[in-house]
Amino acid sequence: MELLLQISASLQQGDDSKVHELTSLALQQGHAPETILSDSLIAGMDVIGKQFRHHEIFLPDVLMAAKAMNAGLDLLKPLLQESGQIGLGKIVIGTVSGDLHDLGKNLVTIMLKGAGFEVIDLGKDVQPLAFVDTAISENATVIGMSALLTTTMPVMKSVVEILQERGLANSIKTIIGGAPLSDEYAREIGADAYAYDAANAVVKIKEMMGV
Amino acid sequence: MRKSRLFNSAEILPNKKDILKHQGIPEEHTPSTRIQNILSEAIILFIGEAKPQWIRAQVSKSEFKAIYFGAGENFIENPLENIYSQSSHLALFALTVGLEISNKIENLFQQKEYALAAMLDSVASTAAENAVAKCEKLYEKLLEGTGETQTVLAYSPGYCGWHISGQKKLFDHLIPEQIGITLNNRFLMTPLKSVSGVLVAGPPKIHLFKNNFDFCRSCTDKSCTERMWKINHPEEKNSDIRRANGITTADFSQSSTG
Repeated sequence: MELLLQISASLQQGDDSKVHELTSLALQQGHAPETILSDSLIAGMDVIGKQFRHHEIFLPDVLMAAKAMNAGLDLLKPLLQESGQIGLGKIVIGTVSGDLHDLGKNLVTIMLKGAGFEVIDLGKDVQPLAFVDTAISENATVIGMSALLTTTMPVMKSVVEILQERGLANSIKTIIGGAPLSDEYAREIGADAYAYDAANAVVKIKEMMGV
Repeated sequence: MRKSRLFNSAEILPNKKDILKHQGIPEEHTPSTRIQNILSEAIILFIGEAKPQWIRAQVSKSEFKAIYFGAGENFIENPLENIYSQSSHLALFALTVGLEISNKIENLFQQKEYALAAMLDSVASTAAENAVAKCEKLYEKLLEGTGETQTVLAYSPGYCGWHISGQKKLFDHLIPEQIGITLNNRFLMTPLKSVSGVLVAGPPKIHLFKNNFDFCRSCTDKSCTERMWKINHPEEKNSDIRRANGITTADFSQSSTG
């Protein structure tokens, strides 16, 4: 099997050691880092994402594949940064202030990285201004916000309002997610999208960014 | 009077099917050996790291009325007012599986052990559900000998029309800080795998209600249906694991739109 396909297959099997070994070999053989990223790692995660959406595989399988993706990405990242390749786009993500639930946010981060996005994870208990300021300073085009408490949902509205006040709502899109949220709430606060799970977040962000 | 008690982790250990269900893996699916190994590892970690304990305090109906009213943000139409007013005994409770588990989950994520981290999260969440069921049983046992058949069920702020801001008064009265549970200004409990609420004891029928309130439409839990089914089918009452006890971990109990 061709080496790039082997990397993709190993990733889909969640074999992080193999992905690391084969990625290293591919680089030694002169494959371009961006080719390995797109044709092996992202291609493998695309398959995983589809299988997950179709309930053919489950969360642990996705997370094992994501770990394998990281094993390859660790080798590629320095080279990609040197060449100015930052993947599909940059996203700032975090759990909103007052909320410490970060499992969902972590899963979205893992899935987005697996899909080829650069993700700046601000962690949990993130203040509205921190989302906006980071997005501006990092030149990110999407802010992703997570909340699991009904009492912290209004923080999301604050972020959207700050973007609107600063005239940035067209250049920096917002997406929200978390158990108490809905499409309806996203519309109500003026957010650009709502995602019901991590896989859906990748789909929605790709749509928003046109990639 | 407040009573607190430590649990042994094994006392609230969920069965594997329930953990896998929490991971989104259907019962009819046989997980791969790798997933089963991750599950076993997560269970071992849970047993080693969890420090489950609970605190309870019996309250009178009039005391609970003030606590339940909270900040006055409950839904006007709700089932709990009718339920607790018919109760024979009420006890506030709070429980946690401990901070160590949350820290361990976070560390595993940082170490990129994503699958194990998420599995441990599921073990802890499901164990917290079991701990609530355990508290219900313990309180039921305590009330044995009162002459009546008592069914104890737990209800939490954030559910069934009881606004989550009700946590404040509940904490003021119960003081779960004694077992390490704190509340922030958004009514979030730390450690995350914690549950608080009221144990309502009384004849089984008091727990039955029509779940067609306004807030039921946006409720993602729906476990009241199973709870009521079990009351109507008492032969199922002593099953080992009560999957749906209406209260889940902090992750879920605090996510209600109530």
